[in-house]
Amino acid sequence: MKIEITKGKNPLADLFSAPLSPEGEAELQNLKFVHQLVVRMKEQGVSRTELARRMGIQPSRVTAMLSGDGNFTTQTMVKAALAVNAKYHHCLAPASHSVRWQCWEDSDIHPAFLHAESAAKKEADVTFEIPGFSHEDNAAAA
Amino acid sequence: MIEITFSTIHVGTARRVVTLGLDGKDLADEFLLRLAKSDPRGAESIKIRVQTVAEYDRYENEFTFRNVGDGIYEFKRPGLRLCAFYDDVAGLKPQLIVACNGGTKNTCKEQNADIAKARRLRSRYLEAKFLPNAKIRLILLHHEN
Repeated sequence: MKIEITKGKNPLADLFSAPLSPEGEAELQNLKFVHQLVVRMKEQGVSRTELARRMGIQPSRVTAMLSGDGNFTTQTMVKAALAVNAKYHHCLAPASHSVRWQCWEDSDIHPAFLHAESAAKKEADVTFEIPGFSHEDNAAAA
Repeated sequence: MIEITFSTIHVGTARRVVTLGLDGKDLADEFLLRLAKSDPRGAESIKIRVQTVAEYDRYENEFTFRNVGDGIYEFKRPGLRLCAFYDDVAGLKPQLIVACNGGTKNTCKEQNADIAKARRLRSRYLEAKFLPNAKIRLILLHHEN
């Protein structure tokens, strides 16, 4: 099979790269939330009916929520998170920035911190020696 | 020989999303451009679903991206669907979601007709792809290298 790679005019691609409307941005965030919720529901074997029961709402509202339609309230998202033993978080970041979340047990030290700690220790242990260059020279130069 | 064209519409972390052209006819492209004119908000909803699903190797929420059998999935919003399938083409990264056709009607009959059409398009594509002299034309996004 031969693959020919080209660039060309594609009005649909232009449409897809256009910024989202505020309603669209809200829908995107809803879908991201819903995806995480569904993953946790599957991990824990929680059905839609059970989720509705735990949230104290009608199953039809859970279906609407999982479809990504409508506007979720913060209260709905908090309740849904609690229903799957999770906690809802949010953050505001500058529009040009990306955000990456990290989760860890409070009782553990996250590997990133362990790494930072050991890196700092290593840095403190390092000494530089330059032949013909003494600390006194350095102090005099300063 | 059938001419296969993939027009890239989005590149996500896990998947490249393309529309499928067979012999110069691209039903998904036609459907989405038509939808953007008649129902801009609906088109944006489908776009959001496409962009979300492309972030994952296998997306999990069947309410927005549903497996309808025989390898066909649909990006779903009430009254709207875009049919697609996963595919891998050697040498192409990231791997693909190939959008093949769409529909706006919500009755069971019309939904089944859209899905049946998607199955036919996928079969036709797979037959063409595995011919010894098969050739695929991939159109990249403007900013891609």
